[in-house]
Parts: sequence; structure tokens; C-alpha cells
Amino acid sequence: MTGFSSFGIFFQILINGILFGSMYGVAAIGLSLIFGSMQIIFIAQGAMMILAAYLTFWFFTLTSINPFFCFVLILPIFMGIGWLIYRGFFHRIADAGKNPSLLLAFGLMVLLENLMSLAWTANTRAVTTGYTGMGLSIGAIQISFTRLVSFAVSISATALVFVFMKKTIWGKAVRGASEDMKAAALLGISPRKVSSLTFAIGIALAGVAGVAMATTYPFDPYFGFIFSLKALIAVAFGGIGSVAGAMIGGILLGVIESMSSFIISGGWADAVSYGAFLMVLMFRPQGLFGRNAG
Amino acid sequence: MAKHLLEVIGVDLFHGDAQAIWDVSFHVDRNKIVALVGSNGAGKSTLLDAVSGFIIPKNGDILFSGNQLAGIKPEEVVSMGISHVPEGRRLFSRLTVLENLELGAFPPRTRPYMDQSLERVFGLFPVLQKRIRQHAGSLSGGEQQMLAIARAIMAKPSLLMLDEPSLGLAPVIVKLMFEIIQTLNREDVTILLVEQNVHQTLEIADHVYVLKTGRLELSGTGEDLMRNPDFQQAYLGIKG
Repeated sequence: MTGFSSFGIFFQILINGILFGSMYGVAAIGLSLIFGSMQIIFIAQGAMMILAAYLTFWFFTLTSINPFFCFVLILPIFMGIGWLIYRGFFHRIADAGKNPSLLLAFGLMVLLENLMSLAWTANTRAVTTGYTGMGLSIGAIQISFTRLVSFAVSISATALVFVFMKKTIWGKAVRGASEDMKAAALLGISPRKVSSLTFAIGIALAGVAGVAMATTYPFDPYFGFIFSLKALIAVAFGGIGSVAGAMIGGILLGVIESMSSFIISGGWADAVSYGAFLMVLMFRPQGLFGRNAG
Repeated sequence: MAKHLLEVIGVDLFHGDAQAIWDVSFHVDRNKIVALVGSNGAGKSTLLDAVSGFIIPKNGDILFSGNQLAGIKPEEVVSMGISHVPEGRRLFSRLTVLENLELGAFPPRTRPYMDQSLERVFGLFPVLQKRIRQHAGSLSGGEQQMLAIARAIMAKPSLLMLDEPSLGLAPVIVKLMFEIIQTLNREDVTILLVEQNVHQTLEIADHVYVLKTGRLELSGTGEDLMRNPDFQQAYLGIKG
């Protein structure tokens, strides 16, 4: 292997990891937002993402619609679904503590997995378009066009959420309420409205990740659970409550998986990423980019 | 117009199954400073929580400008003109000073006056203007208490409830806090003050209610209580 080709392979793997990791990142931001308002890991986040992937697959197969247009379609649909899920289910048991909410999220995940399996079978699906195989070449490095577009959309969604959280009064209300819900209520911020909003944004982000997944990688109804765990690792890397941290955490996880697949073997990718997760929890529980509590 | 701004009539309050307040009545008149004093566990903060809507009375009424407050959600109480600075301040430590203040003006009726309200609080607390970009968690204890009060008055309340505003502060800052409370009162803000710093509270309050283990024990003006031998012995450390 020449020096140039080793260098090229390294960058190829790095870029693949970054592109895939951005999907973890966008799902992780949603997970982090929901955790902020509900104080639970919304384990059905991955299943919601796969639902968006199947809807993209369905729109594309039935109407030949450009799958990238599905970003525009899925975003409002999933915002509405998120709002309905909170108002219809989680709001009713919000006063009962965290455990019923966690069980409900688990039940929702199992229900979605089985409904998707019933609707689309358990076979692996993929959205294959005329430009799926197209890409950019920079020297020895090949960048898939679909992955690049998905990455750009994921980063744009992250930037939008970041600006919303930093610049709008409702974004600031979400950040404040995630720190102290009682203090927020004392200022006139409705816990119900804040939680509905964070659920709507969180599920919309799962939708964005799902469309990105559908256009770039094959998927099946049961892939969501693993993806939820990966999004959780990304949140732990980035630190809970940080939008940019969750995205960077996701990209870091993507790079770790990609690099360990290449350096050791594909079978070790999960072991290495879970190992890194444990290390972060043990030595830097506030996340690599989070601040110490207090 | 109702006779009293705030009227608490015969309330019984519970934390779960445990009764914390027994048949307590008091009232707060417009533009006055009214204080609730008593030792730890007397139920002072529980009463403020009931006014703010966090605890619903099992018996009795809480009226604000003649309107029933019991059963109204906490987030709606502030829109009616009541701001509550809880014990421990409960600032959003990861948000900046400015962001905390902006959230103080969250109720839609106060948002149009954001700039005017900011100008007012920076006039009262100039140090906050210097710390505007700092995270609230990085402020000193005195600055945090100033921010908590400033955030509460961003909502332009007609009744400001302060729970132990002097707790844990240096004497010079405590003095400043009591001066600020009087300044706010002169600007037509009615104050309901919960305090354990009895000496200074008696100096500034128009009327004082004394709670003991969930029951109203005494009430009167600061001067009345200063002369009461039981009060002197229990709260001022003066032996009869």
C-alpha cells in the first residue's frame, strides 16, 4: 500500500464516518431535547426514525416523488405526530413520574416496530434512485451524492434548532424549563406547552434522520432500537442539553465506528463504540463538551 | 375593586397526607409590605406555594383582587399579576443574565414592554447590566438574589412574593436587599415577604403575621410585635 493510498483510505473512512455520524447527531439532538423536558430516554426515537424512512420509501415507490423532497414533507408531519404523541399519551401520565413514561416509550417502540413489520414486512428496504450511485471524487476520495445531501440537511436542521434555542423566547423557555420546570412555571411558562414543543421538535428531528437514512442506507423495522442506543451514546458524548454537542457527539460516534471497522473489523465497531460510551460515563459523565453540574 | 389585593381565608394545606397549614387567614393590602415570619417548618413557603398555584387548598379560599386563585395553574398566576421569588432563587444557571431576565417577561402581556422593563431593572441593579452575558450560575450569591428579584419584576407584578431573600447573604447585601424591597414598594409594588431575619423585617413591614407549626399565632404592626413579650422571647431572643 503506498503512502498516498493509505492517506486516501484514512480520509475516505473519516468522511464516511462523519457523513453517517451526522444522522446519529440529528437523532441525538431530538433525544436530548425530549430528555430535557421529560427526564426520560425516549427509546422510541429510533423507531420513529425508521417510520420516517418507510414513509420516504412509500412516497418514492408509490408516487416516484424525489426522496429528498420528503425532508420537506416529513418535517411538518412528524412535528404534528410528536405533538400528538405528547398530548395523547405522555401528558396524561406526566404527573405519575418517570417510570410510566419510560414504559410507555418502550411500548410505543414495540408497537411501531410491529406495525411497520406488518405494513412493509420485515425485509430490508432501500430507496434506490437514478443518482444513488453518483458521487464526487476528490483525488482518491469518493463522496456519495446522497450521503452528502443527507449530511447537508442534517447540519442545516441542527443549525435551525440551534438558532431557535438561542434566539427565540420559546427556545429560551425550553432551555430554562429543561433546567428547572417549577421555576419556568413561576415565570408563566407552561410545562405542557414546553413539553409538547420539545416532543414536536424531537420527533421532527427523528423524521429528518429517517429520510437521511432512507436515501443512504438499507433499513428494516427493527433497526430503530439500535439507532436509539447509538443516539443515546451520541448524547452522552456531547453532553445532555447541548444541541451542538449532540451533533458533534454523533459525528464522533460515526467516526469511531467507521475507524474501528477499518482498523479492527466490522464486528468490533459496536464493541468499540459501547466501550467509548462506558469510558465517557465513567470519566466524563457531563459529556466531552458539557459543563460540570453546579 | 376588592377590599384587599390578596386575601387568604381559612386555608388548610397538605403535603401529600401530611397537613402543613391549619385554618390560616391573612390579607395583603395594596402598596403595603406584609411579612410572614416564623421558624423553619412553620409553613410560610407552603402558603406562598399555595398562592402561586402549586398547592391546592383542601379548605378555604385564596382571592386576588377578588378573583379565586385556588385551582388556577402556576403558569397562569403570573399573568394575573403575581410574581414569586422562591427560596433558593431557582435561577436558570446555564442561561445568561439577559436570558433569565427575558424569560421574566415571558407572559404575553409583558413581552411588549421588555426594553422598558430591562431599563428599569438595570436602574435598580446596575451590577446586572455589567454581568449581562455571564451565566447566572457564575454570579455571586448576592448577585443571584438580585437577578432573581429582577427576573420576577420583569413581569410587572402588582404583588411580589419574596421567600427568604436575605438567606445566606452577607450583612451588607442583606441591607441592600431590604432597601431594594422598600424602593420597589415605593414604585407601587405590593410586597408579601417571608423572612427569618425578624429584626429587619419588622422595620420595613406595614403588617406582620407570625406562623407557628402551620397555625397563625400572632399578627400586628412591627411596633405591636416589638412590644409583645411572647414575640420578643420567641423571635427576638429577649428574655422577659
